[in-house]
Amino acid sequence: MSEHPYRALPDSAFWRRAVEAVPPGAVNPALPSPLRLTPAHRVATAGSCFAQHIGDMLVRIGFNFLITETAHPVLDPSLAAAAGYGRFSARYGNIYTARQLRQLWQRAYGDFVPVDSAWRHNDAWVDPFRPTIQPGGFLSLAELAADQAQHFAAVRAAFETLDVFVFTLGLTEAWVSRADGAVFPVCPGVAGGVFADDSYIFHRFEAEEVVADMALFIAALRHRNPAARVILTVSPVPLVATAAGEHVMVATMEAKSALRLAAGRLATSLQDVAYFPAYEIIMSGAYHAGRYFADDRRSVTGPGVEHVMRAFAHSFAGIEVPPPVHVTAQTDAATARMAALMTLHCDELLLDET
Amino acid sequence: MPSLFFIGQSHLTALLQAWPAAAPAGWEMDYLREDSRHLLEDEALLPEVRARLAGRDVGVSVLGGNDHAVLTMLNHDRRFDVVLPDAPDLPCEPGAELVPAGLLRAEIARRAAPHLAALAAYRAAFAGRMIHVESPPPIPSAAHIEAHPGVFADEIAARGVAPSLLRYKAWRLQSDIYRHACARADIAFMPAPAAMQDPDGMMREEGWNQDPTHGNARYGAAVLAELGRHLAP
Repeated sequence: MSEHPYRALPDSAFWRRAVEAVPPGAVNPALPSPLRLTPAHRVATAGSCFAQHIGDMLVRIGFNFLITETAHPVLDPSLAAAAGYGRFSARYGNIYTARQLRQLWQRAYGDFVPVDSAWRHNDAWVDPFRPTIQPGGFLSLAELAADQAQHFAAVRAAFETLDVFVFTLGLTEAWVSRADGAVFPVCPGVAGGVFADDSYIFHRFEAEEVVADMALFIAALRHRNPAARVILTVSPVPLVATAAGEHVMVATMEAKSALRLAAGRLATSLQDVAYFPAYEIIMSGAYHAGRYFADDRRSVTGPGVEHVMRAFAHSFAGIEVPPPVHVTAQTDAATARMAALMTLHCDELLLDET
Repeated sequence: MPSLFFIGQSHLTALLQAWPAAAPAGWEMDYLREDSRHLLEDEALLPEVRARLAGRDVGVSVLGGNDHAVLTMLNHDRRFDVVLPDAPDLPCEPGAELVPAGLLRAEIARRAAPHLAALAAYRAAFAGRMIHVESPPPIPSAAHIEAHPGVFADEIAARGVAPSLLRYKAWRLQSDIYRHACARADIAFMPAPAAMQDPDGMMREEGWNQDPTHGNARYGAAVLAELGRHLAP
């Protein structure tokens, strides 16, 4: 029997052994990573909407999901969740593009002050860079400015204290300010602001631009936090719409291909940067019986998310993900005591003789 | 000679205490002081409450009013402040965490929901003119609150009274909730008597009850006087 390079390869290198012969839910394209996570590591997350599952998974496996911008405990957890607290490490909302992430860094450190600092929306103001983060919007410009300052402090704290940063690349299409190159997560005019052709221009980032933006971001991150390690993923969620003049399915494939290419290049060219194939796991539904898209053919189903979580935990921590545990949000103890006392206080006055 | 019906809780007490001496001549009244959650059945006023509304000219709500104080009467371990939407230049406590006003207002509204439900049911059950009395502004003096702590003694000792400006802002947010609810339900919103507010909008000392949050009979008399002006032909 002649020797050849394939003879010594592991099962994972062969489709028949790694995919065809494996139960659909057990297919795991994430090989054990040299980048290891333990419960002691502070793990920060950011990215497109799919990225929030990473934080949920970290909580489930008892790891340290670093959150530096938490809601004040006087607020009910349902209100806090609706306002984007706890979804990612800071309240930045969805960060879809690498340029958006890079600009978040620049804004947080005062290196970039965009011309678009606030957008009017109905009777309120929205932050152009997280236009849906505050239900109903900010109620004054002063409040928006104060919240931005508080947010940037939390962003800096996250970047400077994290051990591992998990970023999910989501889109390549974006709307850009003609004035200063600011990139917005949502097209101006959709959730605030006023769209004008002479103010904003559509841009589709090429893979090379994504690589350049991410490399600049990672360099800046390591300038402040030299030990920071990075895990990149690509969101499998298709585009909700495209402005590129193509069918949305073609535009989706174009975007995801560019992002996948960029993530791979970054992982192979930069030290302590790993790629996690969440995209491949979900898209692998095309190859086996896993049904990982909902009826809208866009939303990732619970089993798909579970599959990604299992693979992530196995690859980076070598552990199994326990079944989901329903955690009841705790009411702030001090406020609960005050509420009980206030009832007593008012009841006493009810008893007053008139 | 209007006939009034009052529904409320603890803030109604000041009006009742003032009534014998301060009620405008010829006014008649009846009242119900009851926990808002005990007023309703299937989101409607209880039949026995509806029965008492018959023949009345004016329905007065003194429902709720202390939910803001649950959140802001005392200092929190995580000191916080809020930018008041219609007075954004009011200072914030240096170093305090910002809680967006919309979220604090939503939290107050969540806590006030039983009162707002009762107010809506009151409106649905009563076809006549309706007025909601704004709750009293906060007592600005921490010393007064510390001197009359009532059930809050231990909490006050542990946490301290919050800055009066924060308490004022939260009261304004709460009033905004009721003002909007009234506008939706065709209920007149009657602000706290200007005569009982100091230049900063907080309660003047002559209106302070011997407790941390309520107005006294003198405050109640001022509300009745305001009500008289409100109902004057």
